[in-house]
Amino acid sequence: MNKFILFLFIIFLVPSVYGKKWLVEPMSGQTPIQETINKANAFDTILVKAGHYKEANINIKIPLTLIGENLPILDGELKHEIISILSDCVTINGFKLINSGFSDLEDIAAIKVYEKSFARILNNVLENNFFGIYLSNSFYCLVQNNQITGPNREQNHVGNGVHCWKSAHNFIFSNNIKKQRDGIYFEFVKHSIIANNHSEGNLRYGLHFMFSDSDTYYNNTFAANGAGVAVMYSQFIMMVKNKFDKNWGSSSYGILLKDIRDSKLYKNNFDKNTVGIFMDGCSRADFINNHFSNNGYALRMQASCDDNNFRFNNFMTNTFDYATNGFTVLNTLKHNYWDKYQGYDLNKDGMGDLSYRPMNMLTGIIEEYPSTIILLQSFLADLLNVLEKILPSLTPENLKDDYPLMRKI
Amino acid sequence: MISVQNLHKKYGKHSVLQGINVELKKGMIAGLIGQNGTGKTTLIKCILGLTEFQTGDILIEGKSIQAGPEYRNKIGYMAQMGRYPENMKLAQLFEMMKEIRDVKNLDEQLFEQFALKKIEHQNLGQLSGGTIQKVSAALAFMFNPEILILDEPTAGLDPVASEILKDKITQERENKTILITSHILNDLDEIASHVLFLQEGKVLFFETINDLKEKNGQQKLGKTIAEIMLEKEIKS
Amino acid sequence: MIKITKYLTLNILKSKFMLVYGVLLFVICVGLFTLGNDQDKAIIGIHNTLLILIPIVVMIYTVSHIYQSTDFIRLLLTQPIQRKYIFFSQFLSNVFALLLVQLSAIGLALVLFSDGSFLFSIMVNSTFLTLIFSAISNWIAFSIDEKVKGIGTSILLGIYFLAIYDGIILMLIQTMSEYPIEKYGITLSLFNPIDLCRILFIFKIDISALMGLTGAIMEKFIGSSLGSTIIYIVLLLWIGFPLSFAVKKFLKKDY
Repeated sequence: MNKFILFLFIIFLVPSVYGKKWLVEPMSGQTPIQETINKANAFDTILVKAGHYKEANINIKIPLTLIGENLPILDGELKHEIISILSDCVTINGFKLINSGFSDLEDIAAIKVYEKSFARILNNVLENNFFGIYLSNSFYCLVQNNQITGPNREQNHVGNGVHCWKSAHNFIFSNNIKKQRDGIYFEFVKHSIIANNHSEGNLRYGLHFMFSDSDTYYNNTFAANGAGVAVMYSQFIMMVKNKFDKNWGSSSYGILLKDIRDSKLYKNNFDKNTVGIFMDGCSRADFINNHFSNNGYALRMQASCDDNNFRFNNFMTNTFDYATNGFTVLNTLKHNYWDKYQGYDLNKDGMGDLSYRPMNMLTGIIEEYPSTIILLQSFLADLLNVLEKILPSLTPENLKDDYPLMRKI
Repeated sequence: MISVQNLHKKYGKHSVLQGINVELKKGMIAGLIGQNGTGKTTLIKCILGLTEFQTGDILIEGKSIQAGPEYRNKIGYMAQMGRYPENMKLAQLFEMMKEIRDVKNLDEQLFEQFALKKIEHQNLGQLSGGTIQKVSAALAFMFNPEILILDEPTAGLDPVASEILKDKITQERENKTILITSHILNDLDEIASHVLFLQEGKVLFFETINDLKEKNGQQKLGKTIAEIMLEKEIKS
Repeated sequence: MIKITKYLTLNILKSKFMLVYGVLLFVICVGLFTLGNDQDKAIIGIHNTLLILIPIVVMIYTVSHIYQSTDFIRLLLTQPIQRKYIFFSQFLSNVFALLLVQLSAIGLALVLFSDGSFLFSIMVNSTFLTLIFSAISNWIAFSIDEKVKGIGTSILLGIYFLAIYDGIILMLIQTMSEYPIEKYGITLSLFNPIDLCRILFIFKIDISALMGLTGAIMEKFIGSSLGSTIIYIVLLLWIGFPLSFAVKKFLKKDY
């Protein structure tokens, strides 16, 4: 807690109180920015005027604030890392960083924080870089309001938009990330908050995290990414009010949850994904008040999932609401709204009097014999589904919602 | 002129026509009669090209009908129509037929006498059986064909229309070859010049009505035919 | 031939059946658009309905219409026109009328209620289905003399293509599930025009991503120029073969 107060103190007070101001103009030397940095003292502010600076490998070794006026361009000429932060308490605000180098061996980024903390990276525009913003073993950093657009290269030569490794207590707010490999990538990142970001059209995942516990994702949009969102091997995750849209392709998911435990997904919106949520080895997660519409499969659950709880979710106009490959059902479905439910509510308690079976016969057959998918949308498939309703045989007996809601939430 | 030469027709194994030889000349009105299933209809269908035959040939004005469909320009056929296309107007039917036949010199006498003009804009599906018969008759005569083949022409017609049609047939006789089938022998008695009698796929006789009556000493064609058939039965 | 076709087409178009059929199609389409609020779902629903409706309606209507027209065809045959022209006049008039009614009903609904993005694919599929099943109906009607038997045969054949054939596919896949049969899914569907149209459409609306490995293999096939050429050739063969059999039957038929 003390650390946190110190952090707030630094963020809001320190730069404005201390330090001298330096001015950098484009023609004032070979490497004007680096030269100014070398002259400056800790907690000084350097103001960089608009212009095209073909200056990269800028090393910041003392706490400094760099502010760009009207987006001065820092050009890595496809060879170098542009800004390397080698000190705590560095602020980079209002630059346009383009053309970082790319490499098969090193993770070259536009801005990289090397095992330091309290960095603030604000209001920058990043274009055509290998990695965008890279936090390595860093803490209490704020990455906010950056526009990150990846290069037009094949996937091997494209890095991630915001990349965090072995870090904690970071804040990733309101960034807009496009055309990178993964929009936001976390590995061993804990206690961080990711909010209001927009990650769209990235080559692989909109959001990708592994071994990152106790993180919160709030109000982000992940749309039309190559493979949607993949999260793995993590626990105590909160995901609230995120949007997973238009992640469509044969190996694409709204969100792929693999080995996720004790997590909560509230009020998320899954629209037009091949698979809304694909779950493998997930336990003790709560899925409450999420909205699934127009997905191929809303939920696809491997038999390895148990003790998950689905309540008050809306399932609307999905091709398949639910598919699973096992016959034992260890998860709870209760009080959800299913638009395909055709029962009635005589006692007017808002819940249907008959249970709803979200997995239809065709889904069951397809799970067992994948080739039968060629019968998708056929007259025979409709016939079979009607049959299954009357006489369930190919879908798990107790896979049902006993209290289906009559109206959506 | 229709010349049927050694005509054989089989349906599968069943032989329907077994060597028919007949010459129908201009000015003849031949009544085609015979019991049911003796091949009357089949003979007409062969002449019209509705069905193929195995051996023999049919010549129209000296040309084989197997040369192509053009010979049908010379034929007017009055069919026993069950139904015309239901939603086609009478006027459209005539228009279409005129376009198909492409004949300048039209004979619209029956069309006028049957007062078909009045119902020109009715759909053919709404017409009664008798009116359909009138339409078929008017169509058969309309294009001034050299040959007329009339299949039960008076069936279903009211007496007045029937008289109009019979008058028309006799009136056209001079420069046409006319072949009529009818169950009503009295009608044939009135208008036919010759009788072509088929039995079991063969021509039993082909004579003028007058000769026939003289031979048998009867005044009426119906009685003459009945007598001949009776004789046959006794013989066999 | 063109003149006869024109008059016969008009005759069919003016029938009550065509009016009812057109209105029914339009109402179904509009209903599907207004019931659900999602356009793509409605379009899939419309296409599925057409896959069932067109084969059955086209077959039953065409077959019974040919039987009804026997007398008139006979009258036409006594006119100085070649038989093949009469055949094509009646075939084309039937197809024109059906297509005109179907395409305008569906087209109107799609233009009014959708952004028209699938208009073309639906039209193409409807046209293929109409031509194919009209050709098959002609073959049936000119091969079988009895009306009841002919209509019965067409209904049976319709059910065969709609459900029985797919049932056979299902059983086949089940028994062969030990083998890598993903590749043969598309081959199996070549032998059923309804399946073929359905799969073509599925790949147009991009549900194919749901189809896993089978889908990926089929998409590769359909996406390639060779594959799509083969599919359209097969569809044309589905018109050509029944039609040529029908012509053969008609040319030899005793009227």
